[in-house]
Amino acid sequence: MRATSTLLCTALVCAGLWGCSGSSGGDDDTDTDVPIIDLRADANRDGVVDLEDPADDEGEDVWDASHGAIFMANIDDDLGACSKDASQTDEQLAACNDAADEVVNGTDDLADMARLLVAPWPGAPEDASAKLVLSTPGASYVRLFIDNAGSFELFPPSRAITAAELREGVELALEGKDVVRDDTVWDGYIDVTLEVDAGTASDGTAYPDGSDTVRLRIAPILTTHHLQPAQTLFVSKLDYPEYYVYRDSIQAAVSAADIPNGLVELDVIGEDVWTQDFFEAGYMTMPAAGGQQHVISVFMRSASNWGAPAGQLRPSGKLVFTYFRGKDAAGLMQRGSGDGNGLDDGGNLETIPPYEYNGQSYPFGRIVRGSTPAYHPTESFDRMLASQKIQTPVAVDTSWLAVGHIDETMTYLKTDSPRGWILLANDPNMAIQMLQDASDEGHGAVELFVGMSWSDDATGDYIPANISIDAILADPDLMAENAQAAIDVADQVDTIKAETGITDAEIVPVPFLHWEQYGASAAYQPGTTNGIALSDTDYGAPEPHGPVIDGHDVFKVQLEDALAPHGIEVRFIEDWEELHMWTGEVHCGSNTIRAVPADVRWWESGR
Amino acid sequence: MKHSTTKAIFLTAALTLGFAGREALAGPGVVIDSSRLPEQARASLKRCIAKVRASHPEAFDRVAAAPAMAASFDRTKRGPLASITLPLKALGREALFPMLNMVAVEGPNRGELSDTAWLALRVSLLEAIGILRDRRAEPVLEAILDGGPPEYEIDRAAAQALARIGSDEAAGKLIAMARAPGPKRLAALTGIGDCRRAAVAEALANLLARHPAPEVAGVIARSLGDVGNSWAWRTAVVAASGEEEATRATAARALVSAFAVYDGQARRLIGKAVLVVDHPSTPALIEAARAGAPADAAAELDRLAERFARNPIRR
Repeated sequence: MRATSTLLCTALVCAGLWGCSGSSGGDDDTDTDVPIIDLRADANRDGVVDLEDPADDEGEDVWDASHGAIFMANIDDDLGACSKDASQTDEQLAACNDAADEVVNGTDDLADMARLLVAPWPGAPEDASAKLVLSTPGASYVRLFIDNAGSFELFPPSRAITAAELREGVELALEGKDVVRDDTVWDGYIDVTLEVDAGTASDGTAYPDGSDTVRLRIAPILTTHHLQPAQTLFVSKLDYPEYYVYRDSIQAAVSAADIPNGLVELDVIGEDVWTQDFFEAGYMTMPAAGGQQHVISVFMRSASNWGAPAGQLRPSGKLVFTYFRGKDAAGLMQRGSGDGNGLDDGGNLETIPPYEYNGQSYPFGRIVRGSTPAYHPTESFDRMLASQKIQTPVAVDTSWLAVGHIDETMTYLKTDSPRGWILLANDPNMAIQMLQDASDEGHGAVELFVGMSWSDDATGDYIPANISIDAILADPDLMAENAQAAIDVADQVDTIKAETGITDAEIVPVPFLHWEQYGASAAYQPGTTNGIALSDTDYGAPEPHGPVIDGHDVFKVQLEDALAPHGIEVRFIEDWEELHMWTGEVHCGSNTIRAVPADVRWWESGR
Repeated sequence: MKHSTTKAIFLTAALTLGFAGREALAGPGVVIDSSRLPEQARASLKRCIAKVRASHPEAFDRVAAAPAMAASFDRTKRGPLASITLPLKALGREALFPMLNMVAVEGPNRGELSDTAWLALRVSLLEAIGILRDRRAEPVLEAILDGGPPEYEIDRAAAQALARIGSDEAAGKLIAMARAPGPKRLAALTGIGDCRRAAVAEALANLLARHPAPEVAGVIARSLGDVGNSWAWRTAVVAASGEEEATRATAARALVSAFAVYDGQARRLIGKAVLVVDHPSTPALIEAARAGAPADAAAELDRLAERFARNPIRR
């Protein structure tokens, strides 16, 4: 039924009109006496709720790869109203966001909400009314606002839609109050049903009542992978000469890679050099007009308690609220019932790039974490990640590592291949073989770690770290540890192979040695898998300080040669004194914001 | 504090905390009191300490800085515990008696060291002592294992240090602890893996053959793998015993046999240990074990054979 409308047209809402699409007593759309009972959402995901487009009507009550509207957790801070005061408690900081109140905080806030339309029923009698029924448990996680002459105001669950509003049509905005944290409690879906008490026709007969339902799914949090271009690189801002060596070195790599927003130093709380570990950058998207996506960046505070008093989280994690939260940028905290452990650090939350395998497609890749049944990150945080559904987490055994982070032994880089990426995996066997070859060629006296020390800034002593090739090969403790590490890394790689189907030809072995500390393993040489995907053609790796033979560091040459066929140049970054010596490397001491992919949409996965 | 100040200020801080100077040594040792040593061993140790202090006073000064180092590393640590083992190892053999002195004779007051920094200091000292593989450390390590309340990380580090020394007496001591029920048995079972002796392999093989609980079997398997670690046996220090073949063959036999018996995490650990030992007899052992194994175990043995064929330490 064509009909005239006074419904407001906005950028997101086109208010041409179609007749009823919900269940009603009428069979004939052309009968002006038939109630129009039509609730619309952006079921066709074109960013517009269109009463003239049947694609926003068909399949509106299902949610699959091709149908179903989307809304977002409105947990950013568009007006910058939340306090940046880091002296607030963890809970106080996390509690503030745009969804914490019952008002629409400006046009940017409104843009974070999904629109719903109740189509006008010009002939609605005076005794007609309607209500919106929200399914449970989703009803507890969303809030509705109604357009009242251009101003959106709270639409409480108990409020009825009047006959006058039915005649004019109604525009609503729906916001999520939180992300999905546990899909066994709420899976992120909500059904919104328009139930119309159609009232009495002019001939005194009752109009048939009816209803119409739309299904929406909340946008998941997605983490970024290394095929997404780096936009901004972060390091901690620390003020002492030794740190400047690292900072300046990484600055040079960032400049060489031409990262658009360059290097940003974060004012960390305390002396938290491990920039990777206190937050993880992600994002949420929903369709926007013109084929665009509306994006809210999500900065997840790690559940780590590094440097924190008992019962509190890592202090620098507050930066997700005090620094990153703002317009279209959310801070998020998910803590467990107890203190976190080292596996909660961001360095133990990486993302395998996109792939298809065994009939399953992961267009946004998969989260990968070090985790075993006996030694794992905070369960509630893992539950939250898994509940997003799109990047189903992969668990890899890192329990043998002293730090236990997934970034210690493997990383992923872009390449021109059907898969589109390669896996860089630590290979202690190759490291030993390289040293053995050098020794066999008469270079056994050549030293590694020349000019490096183990502890000078801690004690004032300079304890040289240099050691000869032959001394390493003769060291039973190093040799034993590296045999074990080679097998443990291979076990990790087997897990990735089983999950992704990646083949040996797509795996680049990266040699460096381990050493044992308190029964666990740590990188003895700077761990060159623990680097940064700076760009498609630049990889930032720690300076290995390997043996220099014939004027070349053989470990640098090896890595450069291994990545050159993939069009990748290695930018070596000096991190010995500030990171390596403390069982971390350049990935641990940095963090990255990456571009949101424009050509792939999570909702097309149907998950 | 590691990062906020210069080297000089760190020295000042260390002195303020009472760590760096000899004056701060208040005894007893940071792990035990020397009174727990047999009288003769105690006297011998003190004589050696005095002698080395006279000849190499700088070694004592360097080791005296260890608590400040532990405090610094602890503040920036990742994982459950910091380690200063590498810097202590880098001090060389001259650090043996200064370290033994700190462990058992006259250590610093704990001062303001956190629980984890204090533990890191003590564990690292023991690890560094073990790395030196010097029999003169045996009495101290044995005294740690013989008495005092159990403290797993300390006991494990002491057991590992004793294991690294690897003398007949050290092996005998650790074997006895591994066999007998007791509060320090787990630490001994964990640390014994660095004692690469045929007798140790035989003892662990016998323990595994008794089919202990899966958690214990996993620990024994890891240690048996360490004992037979093929790369360790490449080194002259370990190979000097002349027991390589007996040790690794025993380890391989026991591990393959246990692999067919256990499942889950224990089997996984046993499988890794088989690869670490990498003994040439392994394919035949797997084939033999497969003959009498149930279907699921046989399938896992097939997988083990396939993994062994492409053993990552042999590529």
